[in-house]
Amino acid sequence: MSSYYFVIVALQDNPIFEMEFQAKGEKREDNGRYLNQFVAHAALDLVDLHAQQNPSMYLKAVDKFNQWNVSAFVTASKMRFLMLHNVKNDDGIKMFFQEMYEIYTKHALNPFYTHNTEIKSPAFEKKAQGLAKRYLLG
Amino acid sequence: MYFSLTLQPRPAMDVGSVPVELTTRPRANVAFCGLDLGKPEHQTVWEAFTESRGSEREFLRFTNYDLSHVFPQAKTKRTSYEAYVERGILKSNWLHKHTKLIPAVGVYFFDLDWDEGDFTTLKDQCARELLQFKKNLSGRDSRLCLVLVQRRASSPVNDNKLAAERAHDLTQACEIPLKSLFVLQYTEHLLGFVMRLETAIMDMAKSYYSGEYRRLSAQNQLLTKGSHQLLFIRHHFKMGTFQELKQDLTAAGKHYKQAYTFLAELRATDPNLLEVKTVAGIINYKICQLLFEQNSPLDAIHQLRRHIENFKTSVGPAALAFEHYAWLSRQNSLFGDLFDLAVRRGLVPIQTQHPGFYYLSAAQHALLRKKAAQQLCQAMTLFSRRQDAPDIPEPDPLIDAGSVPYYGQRPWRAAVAKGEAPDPQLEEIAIKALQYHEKHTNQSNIIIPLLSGAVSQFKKYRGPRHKRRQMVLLAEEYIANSEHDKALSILMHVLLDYRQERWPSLLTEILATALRAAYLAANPVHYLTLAIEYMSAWTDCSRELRDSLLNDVARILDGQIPTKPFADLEDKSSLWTDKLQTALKPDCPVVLDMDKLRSCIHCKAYFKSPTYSSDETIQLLVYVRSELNLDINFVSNFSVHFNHNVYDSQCAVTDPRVLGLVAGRTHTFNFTFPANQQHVGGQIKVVGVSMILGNQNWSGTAPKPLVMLKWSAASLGTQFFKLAWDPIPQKKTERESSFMELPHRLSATIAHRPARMSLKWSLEGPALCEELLPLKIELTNNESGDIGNVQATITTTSAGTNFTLDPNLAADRPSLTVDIPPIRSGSSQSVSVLVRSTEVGTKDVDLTIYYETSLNVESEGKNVLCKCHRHDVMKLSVERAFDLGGFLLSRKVSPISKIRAGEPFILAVDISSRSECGHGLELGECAVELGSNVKSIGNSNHVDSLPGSSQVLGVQLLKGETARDCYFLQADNPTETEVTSLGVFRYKWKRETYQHWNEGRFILPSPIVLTCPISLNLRTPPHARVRTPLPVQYSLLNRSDRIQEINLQMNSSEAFMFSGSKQLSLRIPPGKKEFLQYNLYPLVAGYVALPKLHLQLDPETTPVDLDSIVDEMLPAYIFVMPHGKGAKSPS
Repeated sequence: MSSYYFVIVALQDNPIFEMEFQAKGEKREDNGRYLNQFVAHAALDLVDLHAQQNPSMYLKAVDKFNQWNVSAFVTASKMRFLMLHNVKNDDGIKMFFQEMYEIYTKHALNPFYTHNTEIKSPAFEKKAQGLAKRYLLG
Repeated sequence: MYFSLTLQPRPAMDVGSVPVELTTRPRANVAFCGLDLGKPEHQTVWEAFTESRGSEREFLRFTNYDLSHVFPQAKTKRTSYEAYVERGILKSNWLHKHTKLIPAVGVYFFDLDWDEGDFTTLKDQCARELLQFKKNLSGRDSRLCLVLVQRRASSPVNDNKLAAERAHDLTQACEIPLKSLFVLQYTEHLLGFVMRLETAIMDMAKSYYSGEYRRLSAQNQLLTKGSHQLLFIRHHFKMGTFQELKQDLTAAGKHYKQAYTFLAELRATDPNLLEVKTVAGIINYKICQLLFEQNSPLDAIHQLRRHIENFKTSVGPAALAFEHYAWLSRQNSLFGDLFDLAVRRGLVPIQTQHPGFYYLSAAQHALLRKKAAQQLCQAMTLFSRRQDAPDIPEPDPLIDAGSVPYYGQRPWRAAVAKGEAPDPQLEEIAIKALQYHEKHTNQSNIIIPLLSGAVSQFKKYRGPRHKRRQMVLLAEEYIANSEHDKALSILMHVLLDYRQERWPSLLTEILATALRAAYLAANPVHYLTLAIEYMSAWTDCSRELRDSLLNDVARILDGQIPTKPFADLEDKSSLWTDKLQTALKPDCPVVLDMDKLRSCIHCKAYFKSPTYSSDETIQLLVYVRSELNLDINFVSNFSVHFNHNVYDSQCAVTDPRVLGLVAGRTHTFNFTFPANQQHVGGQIKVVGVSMILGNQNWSGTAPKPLVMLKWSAASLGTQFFKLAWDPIPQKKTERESSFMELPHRLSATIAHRPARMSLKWSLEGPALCEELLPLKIELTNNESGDIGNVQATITTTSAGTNFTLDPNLAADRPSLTVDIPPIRSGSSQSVSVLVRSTEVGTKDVDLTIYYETSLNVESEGKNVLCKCHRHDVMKLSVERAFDLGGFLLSRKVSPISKIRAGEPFILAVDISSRSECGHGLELGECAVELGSNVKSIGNSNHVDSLPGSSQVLGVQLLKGETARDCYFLQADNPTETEVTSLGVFRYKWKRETYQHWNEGRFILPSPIVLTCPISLNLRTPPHARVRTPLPVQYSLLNRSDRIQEINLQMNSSEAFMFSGSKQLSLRIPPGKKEFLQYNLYPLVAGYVALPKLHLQLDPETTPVDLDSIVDEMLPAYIFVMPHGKGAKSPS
């Protein structure tokens, strides 16, 4: 039942990394990706608001659309990690965000990576998959 | 039965909605009787009660009844509930009955003044009518009161004996207590009386509702918890309502909450689920309404959240799942309405909590309802068709939907006792009927207002992205509802915003939706725009779709209708045929603004050089690149637009062979053209690029549409990288980045052609101040051809420097323009001007020569008249020619600073040359313009007179040389305190080599003139000889107007022996002269001091020594010649 959509949104509201995670055997909905992006994009309004009011990076669930809850994590450099999820898994998501933040930071240190541009690293994707398996689907 | 009395048949309530009675807060119900609205007084009274009921007025509701109106009769009250069979939760007529029909207070109006003549008759009539009114209300505990409408003002009943008496009689006759009698005086204070009466009525209403509440509460005690679950809910709801009518909101809220709790404990099964949910919705609505009323919105939000949570999973029968979503949607939208109402009453919402969220949630559930309905009702149709039966089952089980006795019950199963098993066959038919109704409900009409509500709320409370998202949903719903034009206009609007966002996949998706809408709406202009945008490389449009879209564009340009862009769309060919005719006119092309699109065709303009001189050829490169995967070959015209449209025609391409855009290649159009001479000195700018799609030269019968793509400077130039397509991070290919790196320059300056002309200034030495100096400029034409229209403009910005051409005219212009005759190639021409500067320093003299010459410009192959100008600056240094100084000398030729009135003195003017101009300066006429107090005595027959005319005429001075001009003057009147101006010295001068005389002037010094009481003079021979007697004569002149007493003493001297008065007292009358003769006998030779004369004025009274005058006026020395050899002394 559980499915997740994760996106990193850079400073200019441009997505730089997207990924979907489903429990095994889950069938993907048609144009699900597009709907998810819409929900995530609209949720930025509220993420920005919460980020102003909340000193911590992890903002918990900020928005809700149909079955989707939107959890957010805003890094010190104002990169926004958004997670759309249809199940409750606060701890897992929090851990996932934190670990993700770490690998993102490491990736950002790569001199060949231009900040605020799309992340196209297979290693990064693989690590993200691993984290998802451990915290979200495990 | 009161059933027949009460209800007009009401429309069936929608699932989850609340009865209309609840949507406004209930007001205590008051029945008026005896008011005849035909009478103006009564009409006024009625209006005073009913109109403009602001929030400060009591919560009352008034109805005016006839005396014949019979109110609903009371049922007999139960004393025990043992045999009671529960059939439902809330009776659907109860609320209406108690809030609208049964009055808490009955008010009877009667026209009666205290001093009415026929009081007894009227009293009886009143009593009779009141009794009738009372009878109409029988069985209810409604309070009753009598209001006398009086036309004449009277004093209060307590102070008025007659009134008190008659009031007593009246209450007796009417069998009412005295405190139920009110007087309403029909005077200008009517409204005040009405307000007071209302307060009294409200008190009575409260007491009535308290009574009802107590009665109900007592009945509630009779119930047992196990068997009367439904009754508990009903009673608490009723108690809550009575409390609310009493305006005790806290108590009301408590009872509603209690009712809700009982309801939540109720076991809901499929048959009664709708009833439970409906009642839960009603009670929840009441609770939230009261919470908002009590200004605790957070509690209201929590209540709704709990409420939704409680019933979220209670879907009920699977075949009627849409009802559940309808219910959820309704709960949210009702809450949104309540929230919005509270906001309008002053509640301040925040960005995360405002009515928009509830409207949005309602819309989401409505969408789910639509989805469910589509699934469930589709099957129903198939089923009934197979049976060849009409869609509506017979008999219609929903026929009584408007009059179910209990809220939320099924009409075919209304008011059944608990535990009664439903008839399965009837159930099935009923479900089908419901599905049939659902199928014929247009859910879009529900969804669209909800979404619109949400959009406006999100707009208000700053959720721009949420708002846009909902606008997209709204557009999708419009498409679903076949309102394609509306959908398209919303989408085109939203696209403007999404293009600014940097989320390409969202934009792609919306473009696809918009493309559908544009196809369905058959809007060719939008369709073309969207197709061109959607085809771009950055979208994730499939290759096939791209091909077909390009094909469509070509078809539209060919006047044919496009194919369906997506296979699942319905065919709109006929609509397209109509629209194509009207929307695309062949004679005026449809303009598509490419600035706003993230389009698939990009343009850049580049002037090769930032400046062009007027004889150079301007080179403009326009790069065009198509991001399509296919070649475009329907471009028929490509043109560049400039700020001066004369160039437009020179930068257009119409050759179709050149204009085919090859996929993924950058085309470069190279335009060269000469600059127009009119724009020399200005700028040439590219303001736009346009491309016409379609066949411009089509001459067939059926006209073909034309489309013009237009790029403005914003997308070609500086804004280029911001708006058009860069912000979306893209997959960069080699070619793409190379296009990005292409230069762009949208404006160039057209500069003057450099003039080929040489200038030579000729000037002798430095200029002198005030001098009219000839300045000669020699122009040499170095052009290959002759030049004409030559004009020299000489200007200066320095103050005090002016030019002229004619030495006889004043040089007063700081700039001068001279027309010069044409100069042949290679020859020269000179111009002379005269310059005069009044100030010392270095002056800039600007010279600009304008001329025209005929040139052969390469690109045009013909001669062009070219304007050129040559500019030069000369530094002119100005020096002072002379230093002038004026001195005053006494008669003894010694310098003085003060002069004495009446005494002659010498004015000496020194003119010294300072300039180093190489030549001498010749002085001309000089003259003194004397001041009023001074006169020249040069020409008088005075012994020591100096020449009056200039002594320096014709004198030539070199640097450092000085000439002196002297004048013998005399000041008339003493001016003790202030100075007296001697006047002005004028002189003329010129350089030896020049002709013009220059004039100069010098202001002479202004000495103080002192009075002189006495004037002394000594007459001596020019020289003396040793031991030869020397006769001298002193003369004393009294210049004052009184007699002067003078003591004279002649001091002895070693150099002289003398004879004459040694000591003498004199008295000299005014204006008279006294002569004193002495014979001096010089003893030594040389320059010898004369014996000193000592004078004292007024020796008797205030002695004044005149030594200073003596020193000033009398010579102190005389030259004594030695004895000649051999010459004998005369003695």
